[in-house]
Amino acid sequence: MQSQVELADLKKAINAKLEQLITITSTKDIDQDYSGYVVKFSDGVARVMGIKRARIGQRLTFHVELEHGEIMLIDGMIMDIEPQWTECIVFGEERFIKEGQTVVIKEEDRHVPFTINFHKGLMGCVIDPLCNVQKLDSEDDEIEVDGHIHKLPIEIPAPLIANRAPVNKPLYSGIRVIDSVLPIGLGQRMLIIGDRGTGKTALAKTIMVNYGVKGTAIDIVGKGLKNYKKVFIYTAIGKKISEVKSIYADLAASGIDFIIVMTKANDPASLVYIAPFAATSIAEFYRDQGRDVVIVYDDLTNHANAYRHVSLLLKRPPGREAYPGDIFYLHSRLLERSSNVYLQHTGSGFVHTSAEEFTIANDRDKTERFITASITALPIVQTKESDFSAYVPTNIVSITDGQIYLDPALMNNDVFPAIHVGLSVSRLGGDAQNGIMKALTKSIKGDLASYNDKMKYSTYGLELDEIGKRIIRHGSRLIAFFKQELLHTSSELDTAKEISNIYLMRFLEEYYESSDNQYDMKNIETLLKRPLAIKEGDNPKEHVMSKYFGMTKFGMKKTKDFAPSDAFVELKDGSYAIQRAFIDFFNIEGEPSNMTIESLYDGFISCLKK
Amino acid sequence: MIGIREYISIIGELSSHYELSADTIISDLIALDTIGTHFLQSGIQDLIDSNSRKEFLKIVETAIETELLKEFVKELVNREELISGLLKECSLITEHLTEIKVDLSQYQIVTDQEFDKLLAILQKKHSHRFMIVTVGLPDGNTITKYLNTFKHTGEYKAQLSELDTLLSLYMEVNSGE
Repeated sequence: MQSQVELADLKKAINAKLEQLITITSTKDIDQDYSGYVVKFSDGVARVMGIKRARIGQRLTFHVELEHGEIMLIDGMIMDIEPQWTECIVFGEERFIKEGQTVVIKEEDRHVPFTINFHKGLMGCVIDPLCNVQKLDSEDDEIEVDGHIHKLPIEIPAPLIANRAPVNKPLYSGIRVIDSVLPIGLGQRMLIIGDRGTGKTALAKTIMVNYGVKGTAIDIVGKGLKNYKKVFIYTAIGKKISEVKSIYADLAASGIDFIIVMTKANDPASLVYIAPFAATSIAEFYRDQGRDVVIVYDDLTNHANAYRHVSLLLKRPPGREAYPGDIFYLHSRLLERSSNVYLQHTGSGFVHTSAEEFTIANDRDKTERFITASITALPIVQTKESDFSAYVPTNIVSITDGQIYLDPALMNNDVFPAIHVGLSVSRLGGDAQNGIMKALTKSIKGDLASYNDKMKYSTYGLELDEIGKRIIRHGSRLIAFFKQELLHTSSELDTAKEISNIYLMRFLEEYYESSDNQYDMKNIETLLKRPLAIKEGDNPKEHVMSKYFGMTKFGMKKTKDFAPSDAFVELKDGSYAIQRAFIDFFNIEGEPSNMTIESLYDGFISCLKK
Repeated sequence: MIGIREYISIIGELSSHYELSADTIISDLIALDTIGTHFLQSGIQDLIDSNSRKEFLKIVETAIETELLKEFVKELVNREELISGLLKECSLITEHLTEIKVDLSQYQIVTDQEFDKLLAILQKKHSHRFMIVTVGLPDGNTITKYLNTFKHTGEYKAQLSELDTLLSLYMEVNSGE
C-alpha cells in the first residue's frame, strides 16, 4: 500500500503526463481524422486504429522510419471498416511494418478510390499493378515519365447500358477454328479455359499478335477521329517470370502496342488481387482515347486464389471451396468493364455518349464526331482434371459471352489449337462475323457433330454407308483444316477460301457420285483440274445450283456491315442468299464442259473479295 | 488523436518509474478492459451520465489493485475532453497488449540462464509495450511472464549487461580465436 505522500506524487505525475499529451497532440501537424497507427500486422494484413474518416478501397500510406532516420512510404488499401479499427492490405515491403507505426491517408487520396499513376511512357513495358516498371533484364534502360501522369482509379463502375454499342465487329484472331466457328467480336468477353499445358496462354498470345499485326478495325463513322492502332494488355497474374519473359519477347518482336501488367508467383496476394483491376483501368484509359483494346487476364484462377487468401486473412466467412461469398461479384464487376461503347469527340477529347445521341446524330447525318471503341476481354481459367464444373470456372463461364475450351485429349493427339468445338461456344453467334464468313461457316458445327456421331460407329468397327463415309471424310477435312501451328496465323480471306474449298470438296463428292464418274478424293490437286463433266442436255445452271443449293442457301439479313451486292439474291423471307455468287462465277454461258473446278473456285474467291 | 495507446504508454512509463510489478499492472489492465466491454455490452456507450460514471468508478475501485491505475482512471473521468470515448478506449486495451507464445518443448533441457536470455531478447525486440509471454517448457509445463518494456528496470538492465558479457564470451570461445 502506498503512503499518502506517494499517492499525491502519483496524482501529480499522472496530471503532468496527461497535460503534456494533450498539448503535443493539439499542436501536431497531422490531420487527426485521416491518421492512425498500426496495432497489429500479420500475413500482409494490418489492423489500423485511429482513422476516423476511412472508406473502403482507399489508399493508405505507412510511414516507416528506417535506421538512418530516413522515411520509407509503403502503400496499402482499406478492405474492412469496423467500429474500432480498419483492416488493410499492404503492397510492398511487409518486413518493415511494425506495431505503432503512423498511417495516413494523404490529401490527394482522401476523396478518390485507390488510384495508380499511369503515363504513356509505359507502353511496351512490363509494369507491376502500381505502375512501377519491372525490369526483365538488368540491362534495360530506365523509363522516363512521358507527359502527364494520369491518376487512374482501379475500380470504377462499368459503362452504362445506354452508352454501350452492340458487339458486331469481328476481331480476326487468325485461328481458323475461332474465326469460323467461335467468332470473337470487339467488346466481347471470351473465356479461354482448359487444363494445365493445353496452350491457353499460347492461344491468347497468338490472337493478340495476329489481330495487332493483320487485323482490321472498321468503323463506318468518325473515321478521321478513330485511332486504328490497337492496344494489347497482357495481365500476368501470379506468373513465373520466365513465362512473362517469353511472352514479352513475342509481343515486342511483333511490333504491336502492348503493356504487360505483371505480378510474379512470389508477389504478395494483395498485389495479385489488384492486378487485373489495375490492368483494366489502363485498358479503359486507352479505350477512352478512341482505341480498340484487347486485354488478356492470365489467369483468373490465380486471381481467385489470391482473393481467397486475402479474404481468409481478413476473417471473412469462407464458402464453397473456401472462396469468400463475393467471389462471383469480384469477377463480374471486373469483366463487366469490358464492352463496346459509343464515344463523342468534344474538341478536347472523347466522352461516353448514349445510343440515343448517336441515333439522333445519325438521322441528321452528323456522325463525324461519333465513334465506337471497345475493350475485348480474354480471361483465362485453368481447370483441374478437365473439371469444367468447378466453382470458379462455372462462375466465369456464366459471366463471359462464350468460352473456348481446350481439351487435353486433343492436345495429346497433337492437335493445336486443342479447341473442343462441341464444348466451346460464342454466345454472339454470327453477329460478330461479316456476311460471307457467316454464310460459309453456318453449318460447320452441325457437320462436326454428325462427324463425331459417325465416328462412334466406326470405332466399334461397324460398316458405314456411303453417306456416313462422306460425312466422316468431310469432318476429317474440317478437323485437319482447324489444325495450325503456334503463331502461324491465317488471314480472313484465307480462312474463307479454305472453308469454301472444303465445302467444294463435299459438293464434288456428291457431284461425281451422282454423275457416275470415277473419282479419287485422295488426289485433290488432280481432281480440281478435271473438267466439270456436265452432260449434254442438262441445264448447267440448274444442275450445279441444285447441287450447290445445300450449302449456299444460308440466309443473311441486311445489316449495317452487310449490304448485298449483285452477287446476292433476295429470298422470300427477306434474307439474302449467296448462290447468285456461284452462278455469277460459274459463268456457265460459255462451254461448261471445258471448265475445271479450279477455275470455278478462283471465280468464287474473286466474288468473296468483292 | 488521444486514445488507449497513449494512455497505456503513460501507465507503462509511470509504472516503470515507480517500479511497479508488471504482473499486477497487466492483470489490472485486462480487468479494466473487461469492465469497459461489460459497460458497452450492457448498452452504456459513454460516462457522460453521472449515474453510470459513479457505477463505473465504484467497480474500478474494487476490481483494480494498483493505485496508479485507479488514480489514472479517476483523472480521465474528471477530464471533460477525454471522458466521452473512455469506455470504448478501455474495451480496446487487450488489442494493445502483445501476446507472444514460445514453444521450447522440442529441446531436451532449458536452463534458467537460457530462459532469461530468451526474455531479454524478446524485450529488446519489442520495446515500449506490455507483453504477455507464454513459454512451453520441455517438461510439458508452461510459464507465463508479464513484461513491461516501456523502460527497462534496473533489475533487467543488470541481467541484460550480464547476458551481453556472457554472450560475447561465448562467441569468443566458440569462434576459435
